[in-house]
Amino acid sequence: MVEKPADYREVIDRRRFMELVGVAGTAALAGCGNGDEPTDGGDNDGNSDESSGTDNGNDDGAGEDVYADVQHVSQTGLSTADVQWNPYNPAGFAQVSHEILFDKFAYYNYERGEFMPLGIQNWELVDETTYRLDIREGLMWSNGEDVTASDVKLQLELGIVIGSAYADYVESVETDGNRTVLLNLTEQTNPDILTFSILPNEWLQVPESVFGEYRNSLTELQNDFAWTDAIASGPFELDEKGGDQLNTTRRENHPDARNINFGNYAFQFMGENQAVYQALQNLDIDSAFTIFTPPRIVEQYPNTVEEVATPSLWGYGLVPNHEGKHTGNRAVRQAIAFAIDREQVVQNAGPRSKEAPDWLVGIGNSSQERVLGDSAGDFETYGKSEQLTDRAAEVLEEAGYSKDGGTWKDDNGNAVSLPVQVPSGWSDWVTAAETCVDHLNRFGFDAELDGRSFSNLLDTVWPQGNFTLASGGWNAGAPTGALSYFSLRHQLIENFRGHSYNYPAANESRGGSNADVSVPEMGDLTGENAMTVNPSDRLSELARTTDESTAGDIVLEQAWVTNVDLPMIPVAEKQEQSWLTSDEWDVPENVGETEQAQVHWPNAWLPRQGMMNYSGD
Amino acid sequence: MIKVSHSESSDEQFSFDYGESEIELTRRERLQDFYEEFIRKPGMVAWNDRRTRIGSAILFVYVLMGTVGVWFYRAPQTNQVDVPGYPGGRGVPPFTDLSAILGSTQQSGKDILAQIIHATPNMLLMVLSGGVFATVVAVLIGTVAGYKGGTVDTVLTSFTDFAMSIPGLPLVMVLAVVLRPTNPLVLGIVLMVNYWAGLGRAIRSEVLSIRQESFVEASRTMGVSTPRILFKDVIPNIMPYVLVNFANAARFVIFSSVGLYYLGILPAGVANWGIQLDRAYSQGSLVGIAALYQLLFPMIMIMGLALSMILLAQGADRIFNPRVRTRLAGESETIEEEEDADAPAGVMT
Repeated sequence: MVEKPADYREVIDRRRFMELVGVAGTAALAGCGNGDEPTDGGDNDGNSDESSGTDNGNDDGAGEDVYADVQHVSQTGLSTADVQWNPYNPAGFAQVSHEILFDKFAYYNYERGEFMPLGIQNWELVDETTYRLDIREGLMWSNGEDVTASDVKLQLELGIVIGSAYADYVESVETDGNRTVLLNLTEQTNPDILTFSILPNEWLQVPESVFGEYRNSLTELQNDFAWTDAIASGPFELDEKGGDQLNTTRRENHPDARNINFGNYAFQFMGENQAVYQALQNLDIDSAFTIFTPPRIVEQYPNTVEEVATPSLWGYGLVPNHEGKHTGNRAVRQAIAFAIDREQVVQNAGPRSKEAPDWLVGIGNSSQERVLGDSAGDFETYGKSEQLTDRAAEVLEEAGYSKDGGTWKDDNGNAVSLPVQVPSGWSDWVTAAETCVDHLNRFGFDAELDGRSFSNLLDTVWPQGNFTLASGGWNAGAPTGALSYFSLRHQLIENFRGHSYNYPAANESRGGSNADVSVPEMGDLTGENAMTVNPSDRLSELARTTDESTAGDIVLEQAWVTNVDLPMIPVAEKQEQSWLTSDEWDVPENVGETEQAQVHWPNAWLPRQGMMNYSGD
Repeated sequence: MIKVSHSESSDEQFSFDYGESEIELTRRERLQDFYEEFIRKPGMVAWNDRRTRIGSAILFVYVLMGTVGVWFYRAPQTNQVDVPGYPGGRGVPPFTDLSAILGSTQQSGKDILAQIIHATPNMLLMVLSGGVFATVVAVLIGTVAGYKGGTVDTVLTSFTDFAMSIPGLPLVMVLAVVLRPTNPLVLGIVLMVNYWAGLGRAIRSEVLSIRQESFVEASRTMGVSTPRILFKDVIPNIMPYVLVNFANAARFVIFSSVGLYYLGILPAGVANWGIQLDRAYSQGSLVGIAALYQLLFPMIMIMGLALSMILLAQGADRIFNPRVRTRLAGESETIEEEEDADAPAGVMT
């Protein structure tokens, strides 16, 4: 019961993805152009073998046998008995198995900072208002039919109707031949926005033969239709499910099958992280998708258990209620930021999987230096690895607060009371929140921990804005959080967890009114308000502009707004920890450092590349 | 169960109702009587039992921790342990350094002894309020229903049955989420919100048989008022049963509060052994043995308090056994000391 379950949903669940990317816009970051073929060498026109047990076309293992009986066992946190694969119906939607059963449009590689094509082989903006997707050649559904452009067209059209992230930019979808889909855009849009909102969030998992009949009955599609006998497009197809395990078998007619030398891929249900820890320690499972694992546990794993850490582009932060008695005051928010030693929080909550952001801005940690560039010096760090209590006291005193009896009070004598809400089941977040509470108390705030169930927080407390300081993710999540547009938008306009934090600039759904924000000139944290901007308008502008310099200026300006006004207070950025084993599996040496493994998730991607095969032992 | 026959006891010995006594007693004598009857004799009887001595000693340690301990020992805080070689004070094993004798938590460097000590006052208050609430409600409803009979019995019994039919744990969980009780006294009551029903039912059965006893009949014939009969004749007779059940109720409070804290249902802003267990478990204390201590110490604390309750309940039973009591108080030389057979074993399960 750690951060992982919900965290996982956050990353895996396409609905969540759709929510987090929001409306139209563009981004300053370079995106991804056309990709190479996903596999090196060999032909791509389907199965090169006549039957199992013959040679496969694996670069690494050409000439090796296919071990039809060998099973790779991974883990899932969702009961395998109830799982179904209709992506439009959240009830029982697969947690992880869809990564193997279906081909994702493209995988984002965090090391390269670009997309690796899979189900979609090529994507590009063909003219100002047309975006084109080409389906990979040779792809077939497991029922023997080809994966066609009409399948993808239906999928994208359904996405538009249900309000997916790209719905605001895409007017209509049409096919051009059997393998090409054209998206007609509402207006000129930076392709990065489209790429990031479509490619990593869609799998080839909507065969028209199955979903076509739901085109006009969305309620049924979203509420009633449970697709339990999935037709696969990926290299494995559904075999059986039941009990605690879901079994899939290798599809010989998939283009990547030649890279895979084992016959079965299974998912064992493990409801809690403890079970996964035990299973990995005993080598009972062969891989695990993303499991937060404390350093002490990692130390106990056998050498053959290998960690792959990938950015999550989100992490623990504090979301202040901007209508709160004290948290509505910018000085208090700044004092909170000064009072917290972020490095200490990281060391407590998970030094192996977390890092403290250098600057408190609405930009992912790994991009901060690049995006802020020469202006970085103007931005406030708020003390990454120390409690800057003097600075905190300074801003509070300037705002009329005073310390009385060891506690900070406002000019009416009310103590600054700061209950910090945290999902009680997320152990690393609880540790982070505990540490923040202690730091705030040491400084002289009256802080206390308020642990509640995640579902209670998500369903009622956060949407209703019943919090003073909520623990929440401060960035938009991977991979969209890599784009400044999405990360800034998350902090300023519309956060993906539904925190009604009443920030004036935010959307109405988050308690705001897209209002102007007045902040001091850049570089002067506590100066007079000399700059009034409208973050909502500016981010829309950012979405439309194709001029890099304008985009850069807007990003810097809005980053400054987040830095000085602190709509959210970033504390830590986490890394996803995936696990592979090398006792029976050939994985690249130092797989954690291997570029190809820097995807979500390596044990779904590497087998397709011939980089995770049965060693034959 | 041993029934205490009040035919042996004179008014002078047992009565509190001094106004009606024909013998005039000075204030000092009354206090002396009170001390004799309610403190010295029960105390002697209880103390004579090894179980009571051990139980009391254990409970005394907890009370000491919950009162003096919290004043003298630092409150738990992150990174409060300062032991060389352990950055941030994290993961100091037990018995390695005097400044944190039971070690520190793996993740946040909290002193485990501090957590244990500072969880005690709330736990004791919770146990007390929960135990008293459940017992008092059960005794009141059970005795009145059993003694009065008729419509009163029907109404009270129906109410009790209704309360019993509500699934306790889900109800407590819902109440905990809705009320978010942070005050341990309130929390104790919430945890026992329908626990009293079963006990009330059992007490009613006891009272049904006691009301047929000759001494109760005699009081009724003499025109003694119902409350007085209940307090003088009935309740003292069910006291051993009640006391044993008080201890059981106390144990129930301990276990359920720890359980609900462990599950994260109760507000986690306070120190509690259940929270300690939860944190230890979720931080992987069960993987390998190096961090087992994080689970072990709070468990020992929970078991210790529960054990002291059981021992005290068993010892308390003897207080109400008149034969043991008179003998030990020096008033009878002839009665053999009762052995464990006197204990109402049936109710201890």
